[in-house]
Order: sequence, then C-alpha cells, then structure tokens
Amino acid sequence: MRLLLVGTNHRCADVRIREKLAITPQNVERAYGLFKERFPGAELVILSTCNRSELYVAKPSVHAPPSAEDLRQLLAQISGLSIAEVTTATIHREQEQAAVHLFRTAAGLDSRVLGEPQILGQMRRAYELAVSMQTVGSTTHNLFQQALATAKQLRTRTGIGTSRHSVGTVAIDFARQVFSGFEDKIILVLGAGEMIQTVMPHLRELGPRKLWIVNRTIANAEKLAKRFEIGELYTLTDGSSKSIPGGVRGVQDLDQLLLDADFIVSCTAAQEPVIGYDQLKRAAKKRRYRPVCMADLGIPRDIEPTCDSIRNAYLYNIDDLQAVIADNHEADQSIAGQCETEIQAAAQAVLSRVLHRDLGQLIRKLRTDLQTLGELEQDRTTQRLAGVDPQDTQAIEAVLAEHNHRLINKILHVPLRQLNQHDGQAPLGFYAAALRRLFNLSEAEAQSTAPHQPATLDTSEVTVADLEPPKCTQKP
Amino acid sequence: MPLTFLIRRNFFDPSRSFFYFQSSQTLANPLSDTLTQIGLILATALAGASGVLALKQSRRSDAGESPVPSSPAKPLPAPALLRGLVVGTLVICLAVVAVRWTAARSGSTGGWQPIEVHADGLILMAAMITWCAMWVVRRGRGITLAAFLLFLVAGLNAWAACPANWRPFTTLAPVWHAIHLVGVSLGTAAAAIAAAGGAMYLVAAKRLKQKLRVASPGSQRLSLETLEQIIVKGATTGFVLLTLGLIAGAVMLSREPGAMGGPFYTSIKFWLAVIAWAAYGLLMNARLTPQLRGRYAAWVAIAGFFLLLIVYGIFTVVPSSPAAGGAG
Repeated sequence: MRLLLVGTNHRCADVRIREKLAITPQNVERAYGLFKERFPGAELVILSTCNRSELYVAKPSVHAPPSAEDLRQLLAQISGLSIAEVTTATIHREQEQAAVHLFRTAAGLDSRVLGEPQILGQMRRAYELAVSMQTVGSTTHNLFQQALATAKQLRTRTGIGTSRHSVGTVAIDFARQVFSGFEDKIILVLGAGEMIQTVMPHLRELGPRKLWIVNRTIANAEKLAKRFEIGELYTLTDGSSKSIPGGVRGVQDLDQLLLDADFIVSCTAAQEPVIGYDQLKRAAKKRRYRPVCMADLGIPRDIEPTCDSIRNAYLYNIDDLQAVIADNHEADQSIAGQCETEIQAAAQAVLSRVLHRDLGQLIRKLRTDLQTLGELEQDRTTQRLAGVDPQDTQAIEAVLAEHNHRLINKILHVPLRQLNQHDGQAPLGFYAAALRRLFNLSEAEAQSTAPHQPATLDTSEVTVADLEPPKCTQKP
Repeated sequence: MPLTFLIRRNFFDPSRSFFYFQSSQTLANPLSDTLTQIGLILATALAGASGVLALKQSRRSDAGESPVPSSPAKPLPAPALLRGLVVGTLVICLAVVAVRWTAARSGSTGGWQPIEVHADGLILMAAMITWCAMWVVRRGRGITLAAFLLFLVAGLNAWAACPANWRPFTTLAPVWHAIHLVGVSLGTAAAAIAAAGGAMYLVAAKRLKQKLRVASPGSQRLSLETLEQIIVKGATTGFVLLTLGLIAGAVMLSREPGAMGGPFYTSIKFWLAVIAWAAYGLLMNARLTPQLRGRYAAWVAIAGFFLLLIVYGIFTVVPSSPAAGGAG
C-alpha cells in the first residue's frame, strides 16, 4: 500500500487561494464521487477546514493510480483553478512523511494556534464522512484511528492546547483563582469596543448573577448587550431558555456599581483612568472588603495602578496578561518539541504495521497462486505416472523431471515476462537487485551458472535506497 | 525547672524509651500497646510519604508538567498511589483508635475512660485530619492543602508516640474528662484545617498580587474564595468543639476544684485556650467582619492553631505544673 497526501494549508497558500481550493459541504460529495469513479481501487479521506484542504489517499502500489498529478487535476476540476495554480499552492507528501503530517495535524502541531483542539473534531468528522462515502479502506482506517488516538493521548498527557492565548481568557483564569464560581457574582464591563466584544462570549459563559455594561455612549453598550443577549431571555440550541440578568448603565452609575461588582473588565478609549484609587477604596470599605478582581485591558489604563494595593483587590493590566500569554506560548513550544518525537515514532509504527500487513497479504496470495499451479501440475503428473510401469524407474524419472521442468517454467513465466517489458519507472537493475535479495542469489554464482551472452541487460548495481521510486518535488 | 531539662526528661530519658509505655492499672494490655506503637509508626510513615507525593503532584501541576486539560468543574482525580496511601493512613489511624478504645474498655479496673492518655486525643485528631485530607484528595482539587494536612498528621502521630503523652490521667469525672478531651482534640483538628487553609490563602494571595503565572483551567489550585470558606468552616467547627471541651472542662473543675493545682485563672493553659477559643469565635464571623477578611483571617487562623499547640505542648512538657493546669 502506498500513502499519498496532496493538499493546501495556511502555510503554503494565502486565504484567497485556500478559499477556492476549499472543499465545502456543498461540493464534497461531488469530490468523493469523482474520485471513486476515476480511482476505484484507492482509498480517500478529505480533510477540509478553514485552514486546510487535504486529500489523504491510499493506493495499492506505487505505480497504481492516482498519482500526485491526478489528485491535483481533481482539485483543479473541483475548484476551477488551473493546474499551475494548484501545483503552486499545494503540498505533496508520500508514505512516512504523509503519515507524520497527518499525525502532526491531528495533534494540532500544524495549526495556526499551536495545539488548537478543534482540528481533532474536524478530523473525526472528515473520517466519518469518508466512511459514509465508502472510500475508507483498512489503510486509511488504521491511519486515522491511530492518528486520532495518539493526538488525544498527547493532549491529555501534555496539555498542549489548554494554554490560554487571548487576554480575555487569561483574565478569566486569574478571576477563577480568586472566585470559586460566578453564579453568585456580578460582572461589570467598562467599554463596548472590539476588545470587549472578544471577551464577552467568555464572560457570558461564566453564567454570572448579573452582567452590567457601562459605556459613555449608551447606544454602543445597548448594541453590545443586544448582540450578546444580556438582560433578555434567549433560547439555547436544546430548546431551553436562559437569560443573564443585567443590562446597560451609564457612567454616572459607576460608583453604585462598584459596590456590587466582583469582577471588573475594562477597556475604554478614555485617556484618564475611569476608576480611581479613592473611588475604589470607598467602594471596598462599603462592601466589607469582599474580594474584587479587575482586568484592565485598556491602553492608557482605565484603572489606577495603585488600586492593586487595596485589601482583597486584585488588578491585572494588559502587560500582566500578555506576559502570561508569552509564558504559555513558550511552554507550548517546548511541549510541541517533545511531542514531535512521539509523533514520528507513532507514525512510523503504524505505517510499518500497514506495510507488514500488506506484505503478509501479498505472500499469502503468492502462496495460494503457487499452490494452485503445483496442484495442476501434480494432477497432470499423476495421470502420466498412471500409464507408466512402476518397475520402469527410468520412465518414472523422466516423468518427474518433466514435472519439475514444467513447474519451474510455470512459476517463472510471469516474472520473466514482466522483466522483458520496459518499465520507465522501474529500471531493470531494480528487479535484478530485488531478485538477488529475495532469492539470496550471489552475483558470483549467477555469473558462473549463466551461459555466456552479450550484455543486453543493465546490470548496474542498485542499492536498497534506489528501490523506492523517485519522489515528486513541489514548491512549499 | 529549666525547660531543656524537662524536654530531655520527657523525650530522651532512657527509662522512657520510645517503645516503653508507663504501665498503670488502666494500661494492662501490652499487646494493645505494641499494636498501637506499630500503628503509630506506620501511620507516621504513610502520612509522611503521602504528603511528599501530594506536594510533588501539586508542584508538577503548577509547573505545567502534567496540567490536566479539564474544565474547572471536573478536575481529574489524584494518582491511585496517593489515594491508596491516604486511605491506608486513615485506616491505620482508625485502627489505632479502635485498639485504644478496646484496650481501655477491657483493661480498666475503675471507671472506664474513653480517653485515657493524651496520646488518645492526638490520635483522634490525626484520624479526623486524615479524613479531611482524604476528602480533598478524592475531590481532586487542592492537593497542596492535602499535603499540608498529611504532614500535620505525620507530626501528630509521631508526637503521639512520644512517651510523655502516655501518662494516664487521674480524674474523678472520667466521662466529662473524655468529653473535654474529645472536644479539645477535635476542635484542635478543625483549627489545624483552618490554619492549613489560612497558610494556603496567604501563599495564593501573594502569588496573585505578584501576578505569577496563572494556573491553567485544569489546575488543582483552590481559589481564594474556597480557601476562605475552609478557614471559616474550620474555625466554626473548631469553635463549636472547643466550646464543648471548655464547658466539659468547667464541669470537671466544679467537681475537682483542686485539679488545676490552684485557681483556674492562674493557669496559663486556661487563658491560652480561651484566647484561641475567642479567636475562632471571631473568625467564624470573618465574612461579616470587614477587618477579618482575606489575609487577616488567615493569620488569625494560623495564630489560633499555634496557641492550641502551645497548650498541648505545655501539658506534654510540664504536666504537673500549675501552668499546665494539672492532669488535663
């Protein structure tokens, strides 16, 4: 079995090309249909996400279709791009390299965000779709199952992908170290800009008792509240209803809100601090120094840095949060380095198992065919022997000699016919080396037993490495 | 009497070797003594080992070597070895309590005293704290707290094995005496848990103020809010039990006015115990007392526990002095 990968991803093509090469849910069935029609003996799994469109193919042998060129033509036909554009924008991997790429992708090591977990689910769904399209065989089944299992194991053991990479999520992680839960907490959001919009989904997920949005421009705050359904009932996908009480308040209500707010997230365009030390100190006293966690994501800072010195008040500014993100990134890189070795080993192991299984099947087929040949000759020889006098040893020996001769000729007939055909992809030396190796024929013995003939065959020595067909090169 | 001499006499006197128990008419069961000693040694070793393991796991979790990618609501359980060691420690502690209880019942020639020697109280404390540590370990969150508690258990078991804790009590009110000791012992155990929570609170609050690396979502660290709850709940439980112990002590005094070797108000032990009791009374209302929120509550919890330890220590070192308040 031969493993082949042709596809595009965020490393080798920009978004403009990738979106054209993307195999969407609308055209994926067509893609599978075309593949099955043209290459009925091959296996295929299509992995198409926002950052990659890759075709993982397993075919019976190196010479069997499809080739990398065939797959590019298929992509060109589906996308409407030219072959040249597809060739420039795609990568091509075979055998171990293709397997390693698959394993790395599953583990999130090839993703934009190192270790991102979504790819695992996407790969699982792609595999299941291929199963339903009946293009999955034993090779792709083994590979994908093992890739998914290895990735899951790596993620569980190393935690890759669990690190936070956005200031909003890191701020929430800090808050979780102060508060055990948020069901009885009040969250106060200052501002309604882009940064706050990226943080809002995470804040909503916390399920706080109340969520207030304060902004100088009430209309923007109301838009934000409406978008994230703060203060009104909304329906979840399972049909149940949920609401997060709260809503929009003006800046004039800030003093009152500070009395109740447990977690404050701020990112405004104000040039001066919105929350001052004295203001917060008064509020802290009145709220009996209940713990308060503040995440100041604004530049210039919205909360006076001296507020951190207030008892039971914990303040993190953008620098603190980004330092954590940088730490997380370093830690992830280190983990990724450790994972690479394991992934290489796992990919090699599964590919080796697949190849050995294929070899086993091949040997069984060979044995069966030879067995059939032998039985046919045995029947013929038995019939011949029936007509020979049992005392006539010379006649018996002649029949047996003929049996041997015929059997050897029949066994060698197909291989010798193959040798006589000219195969541009596999030079004669390739077969000669294989024969020597498989049948343990030393060159000296071969030369001493062969009759003298003019040299018509290429007897150049071929090394083991030369037994692999040449790989196609492609642009990154 | 110089303190060093007293310590030497009680802890290092060859005639009071580690494996020697002062016999009395109430301790007539050498087998139970041997089993108790073996149990204490095993419990000390297991508690120490599990404390080390818990600390290692806590550090690994913090360093990100094995951060567990789980949601905050679903932490993964502690390793099986740690759980096994903690359960083993608890089983041995309870077994020792059972052996002591049985020996006291079978060996007593006078009225039965459920708690015959000071070590019984220490063993009871160790059992209660081990149970709390096991709960924390099973919960999977707050392994550092479990490590604190397990080291404390190891210390208590080792202390309980000291000969000085095996002098039998002499009292005319054995039942009240038992209630007094159970109340004080378990109250001290609860105070120990509050103190452990307080120590962890201080460490966690400092880390947060220093903006050290934030824990990943699956980290096993307890939040400040949870640690404050541990302090308050530990203090509340400790207060209730200490109240029981002090009331029983007051009843004993009413029956044996001379038991403390003089007026009760001259006993240092009495005053230290009352101060600790009052501290926990304040602490259990920490959330209502602005001055006691946060780090202050943690410090009060730790100070209160040390006061109680000093009370125990006074008794162990100079049991006969008026400062110690007599036999118990």
